[in-house]
Order: sequence, then C-alpha cells, then structure tokens
Amino acid sequence: MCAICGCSTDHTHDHGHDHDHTHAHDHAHEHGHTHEHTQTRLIHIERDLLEANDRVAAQNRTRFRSKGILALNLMSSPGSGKTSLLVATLQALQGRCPVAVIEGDQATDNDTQRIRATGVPALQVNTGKGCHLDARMIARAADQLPLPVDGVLFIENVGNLVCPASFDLGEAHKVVLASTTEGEDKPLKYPNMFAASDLMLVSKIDLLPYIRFDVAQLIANAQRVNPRIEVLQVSAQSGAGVPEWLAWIERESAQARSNIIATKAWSANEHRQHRAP
Amino acid sequence: MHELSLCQGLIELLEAESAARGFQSIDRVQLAIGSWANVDPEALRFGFAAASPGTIADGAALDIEMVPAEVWCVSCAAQRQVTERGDPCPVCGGGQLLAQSGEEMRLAALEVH
Repeated sequence: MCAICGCSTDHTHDHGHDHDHTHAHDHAHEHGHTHEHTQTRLIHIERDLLEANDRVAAQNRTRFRSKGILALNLMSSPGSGKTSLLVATLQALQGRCPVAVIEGDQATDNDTQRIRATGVPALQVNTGKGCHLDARMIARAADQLPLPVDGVLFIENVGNLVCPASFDLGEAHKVVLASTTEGEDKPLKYPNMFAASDLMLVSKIDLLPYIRFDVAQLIANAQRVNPRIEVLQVSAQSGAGVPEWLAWIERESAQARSNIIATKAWSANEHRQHRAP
Repeated sequence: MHELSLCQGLIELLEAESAARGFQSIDRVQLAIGSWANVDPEALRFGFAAASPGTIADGAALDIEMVPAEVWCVSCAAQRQVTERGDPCPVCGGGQLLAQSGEEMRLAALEVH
C-alpha cells in the first residue's frame, strides 16, 4: 500500500519523490564546494607561550638597568617570612640607598601597610584569582612608583612555590626563602622554584635551637636541583645573618650601577635579537 | 594553576598568527612542552577549554608533546636526557646535572583552514 495516499501501489507520487532526489544531488555538489574551503594546511610556528610576558619582562629589565636599579624578585611559600625579612632589610638599608617595594598578594594591602610603616614607598598589586605576578603587572606598578634610581627595587611575589617560578618579571635575580619551619625537602618537592633562583635565604634560623631541622640537608637538596644556587642563613627576629644578606645586596647593587653604561649597547643588541626570525 | 595564564598567552599568539597569515579557523594546535617546565598537561587542556571559546582557537584540538630535558652530567661529562627534575643521571646515578633544555613551552605547529 502506498504510504502517502493509502491507494494500491499504482501511483504518481513516487515520481515526485524522484525529483526531490535530484535536488538532493545538487546538495551533494554543494558539499563538494564546501570541501574546497575546508582544506587544511599545516603551519610550523615555533613560538614561545611566554613570549608576550617575556617581551614585557625584557622591557622592565632594560628600564631598571638603565636607572642602575637592582630588582629582586622574592619568592617563597606563604608564611616563610618574606615580609618580616623585607621590613628588617628596609630598616637596615634606611639612608644607605634608595629603595621601593612592589607587594604581590591575591588580596588585601596588609603587607604594603607594614612596608609603608618603615617610610619606604610601596605599591600593592592584588592578583585576584591569579597565583603569581607577571611582567605586565610590574610594568604598571613601576609607572606608579618613584623608582629607586641607583638603589634597590624589592618585588615580593605571591606566596606560592610553583607558579611564580615560570614568570620572568624583569628582575636581576630571583631570591627564594625557605624557612626552618618547613621541610628540608622543599627544594625536591618544588624543584622549579629552587632551580630558577640565584639565591636561597634560609629564614627563621633563630628557631633552630627549638626545632628539629637539618639546615645542611636543606642546602644539599637545593644544590641538587640547582648546583649554582647561593645560600645565606638569616633571621628577621634576631638579625642574625642580616649583615651578610645586606652585603649580598650591596654587591649586586654595585653590579647593577656599573651596568648602566653597558646597558644602552646591550638593549640595542637584545632588541635586534628579538626581531630576528 | 598558571596553565590558564599560559593558555591566554597561547590564544594571543594564535590571534596574531591568524591576522598575519590569514587563516579563519584552527583544527589543531601542537605544543611542545619541556618535562621540567612545571606544566601539567591536564591543567593545560582544562585552561585551553576554558579560554578558547569565542576566540580563533574555538573548537581546536590540542596536541601536547612532552619533551624530556637535556642535561649536562658533571660526573659523566656528557649530555643526558632526564624526564623528572631531581632525578639522577640515568647512566652514572650522579646528581650534579646542569639543565640545557627542558623548560621550553613552545607553540610548534598549527593545522588551519
């Protein structure tokens, strides 16, 4: 029985359907046409995912170097004593050289208030949901701060031993703090951070008489992931090791000041390298 | 979770490549990630899925090739490959290894139309 009209199978309906089929063939042709548009091609590219950040970081670095500024990127897990050491450091540096601080935290300006209490210009950068500072945040902050010409710019990164290691801010050195209240195996658990740092500060050493902590083991672990890392031991509470830390800063600051003349040639050269294919 | 930031940087690169080379959409994105780059491939996929809708990368497949780190082993005085940072030299077991590569995060290739 014909499914359309219910009559017996003699019919003209089916012919009508055949015509529809012819239309469907036209559609098939259209598909072929579309196929030409969707022809894919493979492009080899070779670009760095951090390219945009690294470009701004290079601009920051040139900017700091051209003013003789030593920029230090301080990193650690939350609670290792970055801000306490920074306050002690700023008090000790008072009157010796210009200083400024960029404070990174997800939220609050508590740390900036602690820094400003020392009389040092400080700017808070809240990263919101972000887990690290990036070069653009530092570029914006540097526009708003009185930059410490021939002095030291301290950048206190978000307390986090993972993400900040990957983001160049334009600093001269990454400095990582590891406190005596953390495990000696922190460098093994978070190797990228210790591999990226030029200096490890073992903090809270005033607590050593009261706790079980093997400083030599911590240092051995840090050197295992970074054979070149320098190490100093400090306490913001007692002041132990702070003179050595200040001497390290002074050595690096002298280096930054002596770089000023070399910077112009260097930055022109780096600019060319960035443009090269 | 800096992988989301990385994906946002990747999409900026893709938008720039699209403008420069004139392609309209991307079928496949191929990344080469060093095994010491501190990047979790699953977090990267998650970040890409979160960041790509409404961009040139919308609907693109993501291929991630993990590249072992090349190190200089001080005691062997030779070039070695080490997958995990902190692992010893696969030949002599020594721990004095200087990284030559392994932290790269590269956009390697694209399939576009």
